[in-house]
Amino acid sequence: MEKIYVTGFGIITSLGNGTADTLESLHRRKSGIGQLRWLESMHSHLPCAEIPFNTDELRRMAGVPKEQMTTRTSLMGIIALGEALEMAGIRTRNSLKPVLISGTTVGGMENTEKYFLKMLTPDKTYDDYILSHDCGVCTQMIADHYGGFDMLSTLSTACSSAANALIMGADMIRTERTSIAVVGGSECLSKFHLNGFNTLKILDKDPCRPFDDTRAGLNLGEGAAYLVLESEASVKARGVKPLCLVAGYGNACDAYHQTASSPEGDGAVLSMTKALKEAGLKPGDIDYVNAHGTGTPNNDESEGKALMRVFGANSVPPVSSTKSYTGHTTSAAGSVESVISILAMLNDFLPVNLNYRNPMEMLSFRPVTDEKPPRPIRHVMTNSFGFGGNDTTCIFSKF
Amino acid sequence: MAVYIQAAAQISVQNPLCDDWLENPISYDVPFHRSIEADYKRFLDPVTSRRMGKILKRAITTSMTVVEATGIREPDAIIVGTGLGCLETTEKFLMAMLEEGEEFLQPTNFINSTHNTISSHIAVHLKCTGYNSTYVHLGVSFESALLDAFMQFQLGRIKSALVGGFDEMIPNYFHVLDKVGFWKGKMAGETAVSFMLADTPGKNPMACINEVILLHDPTKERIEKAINETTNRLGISREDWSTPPSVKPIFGESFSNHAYDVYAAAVKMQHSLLPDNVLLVNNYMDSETSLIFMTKC
Repeated sequence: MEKIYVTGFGIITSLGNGTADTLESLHRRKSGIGQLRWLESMHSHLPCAEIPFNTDELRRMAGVPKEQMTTRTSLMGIIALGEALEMAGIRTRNSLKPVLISGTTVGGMENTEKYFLKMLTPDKTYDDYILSHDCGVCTQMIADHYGGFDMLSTLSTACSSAANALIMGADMIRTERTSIAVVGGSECLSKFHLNGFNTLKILDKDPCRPFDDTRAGLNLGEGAAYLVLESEASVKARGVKPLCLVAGYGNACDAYHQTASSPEGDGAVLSMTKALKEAGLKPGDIDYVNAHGTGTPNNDESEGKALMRVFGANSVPPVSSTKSYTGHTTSAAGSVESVISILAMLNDFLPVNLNYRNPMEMLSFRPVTDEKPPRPIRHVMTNSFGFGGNDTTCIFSKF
Repeated sequence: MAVYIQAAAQISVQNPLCDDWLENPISYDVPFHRSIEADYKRFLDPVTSRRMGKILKRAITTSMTVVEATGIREPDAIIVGTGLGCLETTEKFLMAMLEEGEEFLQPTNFINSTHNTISSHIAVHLKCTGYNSTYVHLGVSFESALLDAFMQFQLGRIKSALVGGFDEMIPNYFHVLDKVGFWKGKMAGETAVSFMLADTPGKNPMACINEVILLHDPTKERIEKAINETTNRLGISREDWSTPPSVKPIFGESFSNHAYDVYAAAVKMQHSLLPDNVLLVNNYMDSETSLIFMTKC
C-alpha cells in the first residue's frame, strides 16, 4: 500500500497556541483545566479547559476582520490550520490544490444559542447568524480564509469526528483523488453541550482523573488541530522532509448504546484491531497509546478492558490520557491527540497521565507516571470514541 | 470499478416507500411542507417509536426497507449524510435551555441531538459493528457519504454499504432561513432516502455508481476537467452522458435532497426511462459542487 506521510501539523488548546506551547506544557505537567473565563453559564463551578484567548483576541490572531461573520470554532480552526500549512511549507493559493476534511459537532451553535430567540422576533439584526449555524459553514470559513482548497468535507461523529476526518483524507490520497489532504477538527465550548454533558452527569466537579479508581467524570475543553497528509510522490516532488507516517487506522461501531460504551469495549477492540492490521503491525510493536481516557467511570473501564484484550493483560504498552491537560476537546479530540501522540514520538517522551493516584482494580496496567519511555518510541496509537459508539483508532510511525 | 445500487427507499412529501411520484407526483403550493409519514409500526414498536424524533423513525424505516429488499442484514458500512442533523431534538434542548434556564434540563433531547445519532441508531437497530460515519457538509452532505462509501469499496474494505441522506426541517428554522431569503421561492421540504450499495448486482439492481466527485468553489473549467478526466477513464465519451432534469422541485429543498436525484435516476434507469449513462450535477449556493456518474447495470 502507498505510504502516507504527515508533513505538518498545528494545534491550539487550553495549553496555548502552537506546538511549542503544547510540548512545553506536556513536559512541565501543566494542565489547561481551570475556571471558566469566557463562556457564560450557571455551571461555572465545573472545571473546563478553555483556550486562553477571548474571541476578539482569536480574531486578531487569525487575521479575521471585525465586521466579518465568524464563529469561535472557525477562528480556532484558522489558527491551527495556519500553523500546519506553514510547517508543511504549503501555500494553498498556488497549484497544489489540497483538500480539507474537518470534524465538528458544535459548528456555529455558540452563535445560535446567543441569538436564536432574537431571530424568532421580527427584528432582523441577528438573522445572518443562522447561516453560520451548521457544521459545514465552519469548514468553509476555515478553508476560504486561506483559499485554494479544491474540495471540502465535514464529519460529525461526535467525539471521534476529527479522527474520522483523518481517515477520509487518507483514503482520498490512497484512492488518488488528491496528493495532499489537510485533516482535523475544531470545536469551541458551547453552553449547549456543556449543559448536555451536565445532564448526563458525567462532568467532574474537580479536575479529571483518567484511569484513577476515584475518577468521577470528564472536563470539557476546546481546541483545534490539523495535520497535513501527503502522498509519497507529492513529498518527493515538493522536496519536503516528512515528519512521520500515517501507518494505519480503523473505524468500528460499538452498536451498543447511544452514550455508553459496551462493558468489555467491543467497538474499541475492533477499531484498534483494524488499525493494527492495516498498519501491518503486531500489538507488541506499539510503544505508546494515547487513550480516549475521558475520566468517566464507564469509558476508562471499558477502554481499559479493551486495551487488555488487544495487547494482552500483561503486555499493555505505556498508556496515558492527555485529557487531564486539554480537557475533552470533543470533536477536535481526534486531531488534538494525534498531534500530541506525534509530538511524544518525535521527542521521545511519554506524556504523563495527570491526577493519577489510585489503581483501578479491574485493570492490569497503570497509566504513565514517568516521562521516560522504556524503549525508543517508533509507533504510537491514539483512540477516539464518540457517542453512538463511533470508535476510531489511528496509528502513526517513524519511518 | 462500479458499485451497484441494489435497493433504494424514500420518505418525503411524495407518497412514502413507493414510486407513485413517477406517474402521479403530488404538487404543492406552499412555501414549506413536511414529509408524509410512513407506517412506522412495521419496524418500530410503539414505545421505541415514541421516544424517537421524526428523522430517526424515517431513517430506520427507509433503512429497514432496503435491508429487507436485498436481504443484506449486516451491511459492512453505515454512512449517513445530513446537513443539519436531528434538528427537532436539538431545538427542544436549545429552547428549554434558553427559556427555562440551565437548571432542569433533561438528557434525552441532548443524547438524540448529535448528528451521528442517526447512523448509530441504525447500527444499534441492525447490530452492525462495521464502519460507521456521518457527513455534515452543507448541500453536499449526502454526496460526501456516498463518496466515502465509494472509496471503501475501491479500497476493498467492504462488500456492502447502507448509505442515506436525512434531514428534517422545523417551523422555526424554516422561518429564520426564510427571513434571510435562503429558500429563493422554492418549497422547503425534508429528506429521508436509504440506499443499499454492494459490489455485486444482487437479484434486481437499479443502477451502478461509477464515480463520485466533490469540488469546492470550482470554475466552469475545473468542472469540465473533472468530467473529461472521468469520462476518459471510464471509456465512455463525453457526449454519451446525459443529465436529466433535477427532481428537487418534486421533493422540496433540503440540505441532503440530492439523495432524491440519485434515487430518482436509479428508479428511472431500472425502468429504462433514462439513457444508459447519467451524470448528476449538484451545485450548492455556487460553492460546493458534486458530480455523480451512474450507468445502467
